[in-house]
Amino acid sequence: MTEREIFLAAIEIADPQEREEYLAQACRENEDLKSQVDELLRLHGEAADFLEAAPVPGVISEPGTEDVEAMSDGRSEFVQFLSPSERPETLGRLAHYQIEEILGRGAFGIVAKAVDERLQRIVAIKMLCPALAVTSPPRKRFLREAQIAAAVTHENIVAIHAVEEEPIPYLVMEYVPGNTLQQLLDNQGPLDVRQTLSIGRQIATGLVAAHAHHLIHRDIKPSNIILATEPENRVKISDFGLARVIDDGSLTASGVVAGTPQYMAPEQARGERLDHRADLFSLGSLLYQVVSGHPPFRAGNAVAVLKRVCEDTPRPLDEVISDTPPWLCGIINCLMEKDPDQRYQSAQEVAEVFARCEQELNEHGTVQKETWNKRLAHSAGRSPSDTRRKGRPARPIGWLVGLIVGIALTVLLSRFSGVNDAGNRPRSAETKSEFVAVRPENNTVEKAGWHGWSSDAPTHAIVPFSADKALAYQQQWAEYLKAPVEFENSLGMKFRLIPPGQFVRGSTPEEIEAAVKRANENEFWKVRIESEGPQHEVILTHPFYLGVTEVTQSQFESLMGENPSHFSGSGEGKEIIAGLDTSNHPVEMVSWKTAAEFCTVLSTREDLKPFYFQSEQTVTSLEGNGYRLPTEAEWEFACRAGSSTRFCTGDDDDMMRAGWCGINSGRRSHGVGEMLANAFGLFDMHGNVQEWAHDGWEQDSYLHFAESTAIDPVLPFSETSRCALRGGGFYAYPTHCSSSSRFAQLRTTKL
Amino acid sequence: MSPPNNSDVSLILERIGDGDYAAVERLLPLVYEDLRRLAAARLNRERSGQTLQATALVHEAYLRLVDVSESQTWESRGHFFGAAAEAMRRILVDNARRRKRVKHGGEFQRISIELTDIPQEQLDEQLVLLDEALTRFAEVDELACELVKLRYFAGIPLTDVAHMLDLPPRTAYRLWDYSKAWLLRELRK
Repeated sequence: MTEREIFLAAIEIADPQEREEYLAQACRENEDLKSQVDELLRLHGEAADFLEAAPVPGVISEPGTEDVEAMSDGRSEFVQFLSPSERPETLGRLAHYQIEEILGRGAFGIVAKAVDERLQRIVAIKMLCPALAVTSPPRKRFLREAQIAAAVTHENIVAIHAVEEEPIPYLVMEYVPGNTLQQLLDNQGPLDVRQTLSIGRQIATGLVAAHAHHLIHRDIKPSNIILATEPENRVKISDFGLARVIDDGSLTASGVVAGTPQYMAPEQARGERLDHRADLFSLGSLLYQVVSGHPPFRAGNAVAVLKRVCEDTPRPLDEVISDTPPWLCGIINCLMEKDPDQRYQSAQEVAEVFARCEQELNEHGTVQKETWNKRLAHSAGRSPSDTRRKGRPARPIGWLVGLIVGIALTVLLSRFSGVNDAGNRPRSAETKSEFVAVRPENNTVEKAGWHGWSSDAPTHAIVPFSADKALAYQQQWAEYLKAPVEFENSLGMKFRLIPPGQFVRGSTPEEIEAAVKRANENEFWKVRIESEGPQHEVILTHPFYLGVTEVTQSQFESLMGENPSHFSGSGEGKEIIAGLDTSNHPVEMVSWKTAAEFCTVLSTREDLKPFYFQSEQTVTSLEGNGYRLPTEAEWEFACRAGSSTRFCTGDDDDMMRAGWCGINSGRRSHGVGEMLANAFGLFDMHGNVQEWAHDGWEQDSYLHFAESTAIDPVLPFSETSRCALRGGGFYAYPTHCSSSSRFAQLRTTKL
Repeated sequence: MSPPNNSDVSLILERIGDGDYAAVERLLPLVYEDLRRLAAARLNRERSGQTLQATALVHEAYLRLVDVSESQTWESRGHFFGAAAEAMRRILVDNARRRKRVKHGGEFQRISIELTDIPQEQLDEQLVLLDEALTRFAEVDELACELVKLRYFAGIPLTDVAHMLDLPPRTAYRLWDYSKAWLLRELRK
């Protein structure tokens, strides 16, 4: 049998033991073939994103990424959950559903068209994407939100027939033939007044039913509205409550990242607790687009969009489309009031307004002011753009602008010839079995020492150790490896050797409590801060090089040809740094993906094999020997530099000698390397800008290690996962700048 | 060479439909010429979008070169897109190679400063790597390689690729899985 035949047969066998037996039999003692197929099967999982168009995150996605949704087709990763069907023209079966074709892919999974064989009807099936399905909170949330949504039946809401958990969580929904409102707008441009009214009324009517069940949609936008062809012009809202599924942040309160920036209500953008009136704001944004052809708030990146949502007034509709009737502008403006109290107060009210407008328009050809403006009395004399004067002052979106992230780089030792490759391969805790196979190769010396090192290797660095000792470790390992303690690369970036070692990772319960309190119990922060526990022991078996400073703007620009930084002469924060030369400031407004891209470009330029493989929007780990981002464990060990205290400077707020934080920074970035270096010779670990880690982030990732030692831990990343962020920032309280502080963001988010 | 037109390509597809498989070879130059002309004008190397644009061009070429009022068989459509995917692959990879050569000529610094759009050398590099892996893949598994080209360089949904290659859809998805794993293994070597 060929490799392909064996692979294709093996992949149909779900049970690991059966699969193993099959492989043994099929490969008939041909060990080479067996290991080749094993490797393919292992890579099958990792290759899920490889060569695929990126899924649309749907949350804090960059403006314009919606288009990709239409282009990316269903993904093969789902097919593994289907069992073979006796009907060859279908993709497979899921329970009693024959999956006919994949219709599209959204933020949390795919939608397929299927036939329900029991009831003999066509249905749409929405499957939670495997990356989310395996982690507990999104899975639970998907099921819970879906169950609530299933209870709502209304002609303007896509009905949910069933919610299933196995083999992967999925929803069985009414199949609605038709286009999304987004597709209609893309094809036809702005719609006329009557169409707008009809769509507005039907969405509002659907919201009435949902809000009665205390169900907030949170992501009303044109691509979530389906215009059915049968019955014609029937509007249906889809994806109720599902925006929350991806917000792994909170189970209870506000979900700042759930929703799409262009349509999001200001209170949602700020991460505050929100109610049903957030949907009314989004409806206003949606109708603004229906009338004008584009969303009200546009900017170059998600953070800037959110800032505009909170602070700006959109261009008046009658300026964009001159013949927009004033009453329609009035309704949309009222829906889009920044202050929820100033909006229409219920979907019912909105639905009634639209219904009356339609009626009057039919009877008289125009609409009276009293008809739409029931609230004329208490908003009299106020033009819609004056909200800030009358309403609550717009609060700055502190954390959003604040979460500015730079890049720290790691590179391995093999760039120095004559040095044994210490392996640049982050391994996950789950793959300990293969871990032995990639021990540092050293064929000439017997491996009798610590974790595969020969017995004459220097000792590893066990925290706590003194600053003198830190340097001694670096020097001993450098000498042993015949590599320098510090080197400078082709971009002029300096790197320092960090020895293998052992430390206690994470924050104490007291530290977590204090940090949560400092963050005003904000849910968004709370889950991230709480993920800093429980403390556990970590062993790093390999030395590595870490950049002495964050990547600077000039370094980034010389390699990538652009400088995206907020605090640069061309950035949005240019007034704050006016008169300063920022070329030596850390580069920021880079997404995880851009950081990975930077690694790849730099590796290629230095003839190293890139660590990350990028194909369009997706990133796959190639495990090359080039530059990569440090893992969280590497970062924290390097930051501690021997200290077991909160900061490398001790437990007190003496950290301000080592980091630009919210108290001493003047709320802006500073030149790298101006503060105190730690014992390993690394700068700005506790401040200036936060740094992306290589790892994906999960709320409970440390729990796995509560009872054991984590050896070279790394959490795999996937397209939809969040990635971890480390280090303090110029906007943060010292409390949030410690060695163990931990944050997370979607990897597409530019920060 | 005069610009290929609608009737040239349709005629060839008709011949293929009638079983004249020698006509397949004449398809590639025609489609290549058309796509190259368009690509030169339109393929801009915006961050993360080159193959998305490339696949859009392929579909445009289909509408322009093939008389779509005539119903095409899946097989002849497959031949057209097969040629278009191969053409697009060559165009993208040739461009990438050319840019790489310029850079390796020591002009990297100057170029990166002069170009206002962002040089995408990592995509170039990776496209060349992928192309090399695909070439090796074609030697061991021609069918799977064809599927990758249709899916990746012509951007055709797998269910349609299945029709074109006359495979059950499920098999097409599985073969895509296999191909991705194979190529990733090759790239990591």
